[in-house]
Amino acid sequence: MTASLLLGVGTAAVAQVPGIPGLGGVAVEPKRKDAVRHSQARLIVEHAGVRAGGTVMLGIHMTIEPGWHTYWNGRSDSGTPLTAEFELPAGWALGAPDEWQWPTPARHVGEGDILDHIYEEAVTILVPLKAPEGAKVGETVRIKGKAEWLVCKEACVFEDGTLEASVAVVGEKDEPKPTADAALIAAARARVPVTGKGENVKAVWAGDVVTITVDKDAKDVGGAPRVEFYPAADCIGLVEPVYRTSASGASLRLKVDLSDTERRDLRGVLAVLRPVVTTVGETGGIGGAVGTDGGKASMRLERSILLHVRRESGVTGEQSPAGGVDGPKQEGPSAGGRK
Amino acid sequence: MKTLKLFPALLIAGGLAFAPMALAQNAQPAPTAPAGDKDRGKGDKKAEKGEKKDKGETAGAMPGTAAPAFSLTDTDGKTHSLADLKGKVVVLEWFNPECPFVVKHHKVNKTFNTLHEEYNSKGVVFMAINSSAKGKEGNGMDLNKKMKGEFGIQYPILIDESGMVGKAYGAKTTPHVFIIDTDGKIAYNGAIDNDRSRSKAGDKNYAKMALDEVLAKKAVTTPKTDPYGCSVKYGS
Repeated sequence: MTASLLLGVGTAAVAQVPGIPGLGGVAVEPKRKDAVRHSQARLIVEHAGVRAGGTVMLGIHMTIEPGWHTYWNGRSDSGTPLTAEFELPAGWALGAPDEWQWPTPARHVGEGDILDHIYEEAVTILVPLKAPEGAKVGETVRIKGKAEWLVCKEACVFEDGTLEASVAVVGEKDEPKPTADAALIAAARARVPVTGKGENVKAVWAGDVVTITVDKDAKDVGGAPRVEFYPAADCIGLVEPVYRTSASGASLRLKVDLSDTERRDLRGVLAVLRPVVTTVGETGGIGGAVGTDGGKASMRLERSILLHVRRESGVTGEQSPAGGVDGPKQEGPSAGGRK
Repeated sequence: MKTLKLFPALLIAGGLAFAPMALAQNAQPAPTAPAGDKDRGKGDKKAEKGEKKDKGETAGAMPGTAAPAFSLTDTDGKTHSLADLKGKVVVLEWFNPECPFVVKHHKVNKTFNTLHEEYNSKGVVFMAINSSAKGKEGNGMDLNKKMKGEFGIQYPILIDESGMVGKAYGAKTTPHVFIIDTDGKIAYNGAIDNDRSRSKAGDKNYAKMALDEVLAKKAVTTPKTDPYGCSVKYGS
């Protein structure tokens, strides 16, 4: 096993703020309100090595100061998602921004009915890296990038950081070894929405109302669910989304804006949440609770489903027989922010 | 989360909720509780964050509807009423001097000042409106007066601490641009441009595109876009 791994661990980002040891460190009186960082990002890798022609999963891992949040890449009333640019050695390819996998966010409604989809505490955005067929065994490549994101509490500030990681090329017979950060990537992957196929989801588009029902006949184990819909950036406009994208029970009635000329289909993530079970030792759920409200986490994400409901041609108000739930690969919310 | 009850709950039979959007859009807050409410959250008292069953939401000032009337005081104490601007094309810019997206368009790039210079000479009236509530980011007469000077803004900054004007328009972000045509109707509602990044201005300035069409008495090609920026710092 010749694989070796050198991680940049975001030290460059920390170094920009001398004297502040990192997240949660008690800062000295800041000269300016943006002199103290509220979040950090570092590049992590799942496996210490990759075979020639193979793919290794990278992650942009963010840690966020309690009370602050960053943004999902789907639609929000305010804010903007992280963007990053990378330098790669010749032949190596990173997934295009729309191949990045963004974990399911939490819903956040601010004063004035401002509806956002956010990440709190920590999040890892998954970015696949493909090695060229001709990569030499034993070679170690360095991936360098820069990321920029908005972090908000009441107020918002832009922050940025340097992303760096190294990956070694291993032989055909070598089994790439998981790194110490593999668990972070696994946790993120568990929160990435799955495609709608086989998920017991039904969607009916009738006129300007799309009714989505999930697990219609399933028994509610562990409390009544709450379903929420998080629209992707290219989702058709929604009417009164604050009131219609979250409901207890198994169904949602979304109202769509048929005058939206730019976007036709309903696209986004359907999340099924359950009350947090407080039994000692009970963990359940994917990667902890969501929808935290001042520290009172009440619901956990049970699962999340990528939804794409095609708009009927000639909307007549009749039921769509097809229902049209599908989820072509990891498409869904387009990544990388809107330009 | 504070849920200040602004409007009494109005439960309306399902039928109305399916009425065309335009019906619910008449400018002034005529809140209609979404009928979706009665279909969901049955017996749920947990009040999951974001669920406010007893408060209606207006769609805001949508293109083609009458611009909500207002009368607000600027940082010099002068009162500005929309009613006094009858027959003029008006640009409203939701403003918060401490929001990085506002800084991007007022300091890093002179997006708004450039727009103002070009269209002010064509008779277009510009006004910035700050709906930051007392104690919230961007609030304060002195701060806004100071930043008006620092940004070199040549048009008034109106103070809307109660947030009532912001909510009547459905202003979500700073910046968020509304353009009112000579008939007093909303001609454009949305983003200033098409670049959400930290410091770059977009290559498509939606406000400019709309202004050119409004002044040429043409229909606006893109009357609605998703605004981007910081959330408006409402107090409730």
